[in-house]
Amino acid sequence: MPFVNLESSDGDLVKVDVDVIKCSVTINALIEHLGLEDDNEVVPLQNVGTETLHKVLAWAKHHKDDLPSVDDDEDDPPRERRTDITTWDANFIKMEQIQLFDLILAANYLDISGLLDLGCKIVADMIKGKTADEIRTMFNIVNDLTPQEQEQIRKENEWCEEK
Amino acid sequence: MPNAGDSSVKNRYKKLQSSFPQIGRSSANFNSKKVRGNANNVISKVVRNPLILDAIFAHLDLPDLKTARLVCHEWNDIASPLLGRQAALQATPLFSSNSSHVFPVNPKLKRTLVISDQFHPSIPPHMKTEIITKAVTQVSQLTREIKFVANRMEFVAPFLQGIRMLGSSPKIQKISIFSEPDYYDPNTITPVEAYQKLPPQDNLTTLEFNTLLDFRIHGWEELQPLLQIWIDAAPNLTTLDIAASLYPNLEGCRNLKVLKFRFLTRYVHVNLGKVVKMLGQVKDSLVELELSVAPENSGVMKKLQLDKKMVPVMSKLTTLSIQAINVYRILDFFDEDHFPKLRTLSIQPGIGKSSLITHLNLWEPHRGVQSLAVTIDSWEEEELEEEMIQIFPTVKEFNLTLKQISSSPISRSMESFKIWDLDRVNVIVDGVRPSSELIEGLEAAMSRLRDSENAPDNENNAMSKALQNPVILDAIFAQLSLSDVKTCRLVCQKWNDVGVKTLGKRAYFPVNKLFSYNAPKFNELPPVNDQLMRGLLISDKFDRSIRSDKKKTEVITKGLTHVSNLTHEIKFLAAKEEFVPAFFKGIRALGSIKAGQKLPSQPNLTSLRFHDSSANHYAAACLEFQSLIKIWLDAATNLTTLDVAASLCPNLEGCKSLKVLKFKFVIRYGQARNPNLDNVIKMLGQVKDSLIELELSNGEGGYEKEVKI
Repeated sequence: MPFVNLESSDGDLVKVDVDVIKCSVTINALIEHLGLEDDNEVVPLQNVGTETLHKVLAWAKHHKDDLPSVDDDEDDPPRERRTDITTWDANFIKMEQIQLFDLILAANYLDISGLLDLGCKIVADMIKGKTADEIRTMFNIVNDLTPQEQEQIRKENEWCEEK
Repeated sequence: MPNAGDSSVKNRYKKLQSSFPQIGRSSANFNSKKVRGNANNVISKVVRNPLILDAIFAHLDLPDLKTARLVCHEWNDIASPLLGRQAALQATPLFSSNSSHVFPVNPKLKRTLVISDQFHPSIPPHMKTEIITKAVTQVSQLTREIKFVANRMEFVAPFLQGIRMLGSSPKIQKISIFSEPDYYDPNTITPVEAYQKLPPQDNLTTLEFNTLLDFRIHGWEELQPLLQIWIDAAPNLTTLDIAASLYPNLEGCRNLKVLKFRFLTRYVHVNLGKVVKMLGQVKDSLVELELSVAPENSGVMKKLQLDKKMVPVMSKLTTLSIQAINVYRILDFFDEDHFPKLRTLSIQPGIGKSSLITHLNLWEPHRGVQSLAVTIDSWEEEELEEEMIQIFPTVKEFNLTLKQISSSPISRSMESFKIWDLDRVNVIVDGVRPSSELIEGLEAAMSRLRDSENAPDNENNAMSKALQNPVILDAIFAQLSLSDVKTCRLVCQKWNDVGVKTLGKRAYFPVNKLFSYNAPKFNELPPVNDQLMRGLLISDKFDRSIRSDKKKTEVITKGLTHVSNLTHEIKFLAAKEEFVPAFFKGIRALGSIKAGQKLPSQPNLTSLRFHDSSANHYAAACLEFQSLIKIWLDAATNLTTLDVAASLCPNLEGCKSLKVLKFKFVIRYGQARNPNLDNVIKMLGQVKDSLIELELSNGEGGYEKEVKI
């Protein structure tokens, strides 16, 4: 089984089974593009810290045998993507917020859709039921909407109803 | 995100963990400005990344998406198209009389437009038709669907006028028309010129037409042109979903693949001739067909006999669903010749009295159907299973829905279905009393399929040795579910020998079901392996031939004659009061002591369980129950375990060796909600010197009264 060495942004090397990390579109493309000469090939990941990288690999290992997800059709309703979180995933994702957001960034950078989706579900749960003000405070977002713009959006919202 | 080369990342994380707890729950609470900077950096990278935001918002529902739009510009930009996909935009209230211009709306929200009779409050009645036309002009290049709520006939013409003004350029893919009028005004007549041809809608693939006009006798016909005008304008229509009382002309629908036809009005019957004519018009394109009627319209129809030449051959149809089998009765139609490609079939009875077998009689054997879905609401027809198997011999996937069915014949029926080489079975039980027997029957049927290919292979010596070893087999069977053990009994003699013991230990044998009038004689019973008699179940379920209560009590007494030396346990479901004396009569007969109130002494009886079902029972039953317990307690001299769930306190005076007592007080309607504590204390006092374990509780009772020997 071929291996690849991943170098975290902290400079640590982690040897990984190619079969495990194939869920990452980014790394997959790199490997295919460069080819794996020998087991000492190093892939530098400037955007992923050691701790986060280990988390990503733990997730990837557990989901190694998952069937590849079918790409969503452009016109498919987004709700189709909402599936339940498995117990393993639920336990896995129990972590500090800062780690969660690091993990989401890593999943996005490495292009691991399953992991990104899992993280996003958790963030979506944080948003649910909150007011815009609470959301801004929670994520430290500056309100750049003018009162007129907010009024406009509120009105539009009123006329949007369940299909 | 930590920067590359920072060696103290871990320390930083620790600091973060202590000073940066759950952001989600409470609002952010930072102690150190430095930490704040880093944490915010990570979060803001996430919540400002359009790709990630898109993934997050995909998990939000309408109200939360709306809120997300209000957070900031970036969020608004990403949430709006998602909202546009999930929601439909009311176009009519965008127009008000006090401003000359229409309220501007984010174009992303216009994916689905609703044209309805909801107007801005400032709109006077005489302007409403004009607004309808204007609302249609809100259709943009991004609009894919229009919903028209045709509750008032006078809005039909202005709606169509608006559509004409759009020309054939819009990219509308779906039109949905709803009509649920509060009243019917016979004076409103839509001018004929309103129904002049529409410009061709090349992108239109789906048309939904849904009327709730059932309550009125007349008037549904006038919606026919509104439906027809759309069908005629859509050369590329693939899906047509009609819930109305109309038979559109489908002559031009060369590409129609899916047709759902639901007939609504109860005042007239479905005209099957017209249905068949309609099907004939799309016979070479249709892939999926669904035929149904409104619940009210379910009177049995006469069979339709057509000239053979009239019956269309549905050359491409793969999926057929008939949801009112007593209505769509077409002769010489349901066979391989007319449905050569049929793979998936669903037969649902609909509401009202219907007979599945009568429908099956319309069918000729079809060897193409691989997926069959059936709803059965009566087992009256004995040959139903055989009929189904004969007509559809090659079923691989079977979806069975059981409605309001008594469970007893089901496992027998499941036996018949085993003939199919099934890959998948789904069973939905609707309105049936939970019955382990039912589930077991089904599981047995399925596990048989599963295991038949994994039978032991004699060529492999080690494996065959292991699989002939009773100890190993016993250990294997201990891991199996009851139904799998049942299957294993069928594998070979040896497996049966071991399996029957496993089964006897784990399952109760419903002895009263053995008795039936179908047997050669009432007293001659089919032989049953003694091992299965380890746990006997005396329940209120009898063979169908045993009907009268008198016969039932007789069966209960007789059932107890099957108690053998192997019997360790008797479970008695005292569903009816009159069964209790019969039960005792049988027990007494076992002890060979005739009559008398006392039971023969039961020196081996160590465990007793009494569980009383609550609520349904009248209060008097409580007293009956008291004496039932007393009789057993008096007979069981060596009782060690007593488990009572009832609304009474038994007298434990004679229980000198009772070690475990579980006492659950069941709340009974019309009685005190709590046990009389004095009685409880008195009861405990009687066993104070022997009791080791005590459990007291209060709540809902179980469902059975159970006795262990």
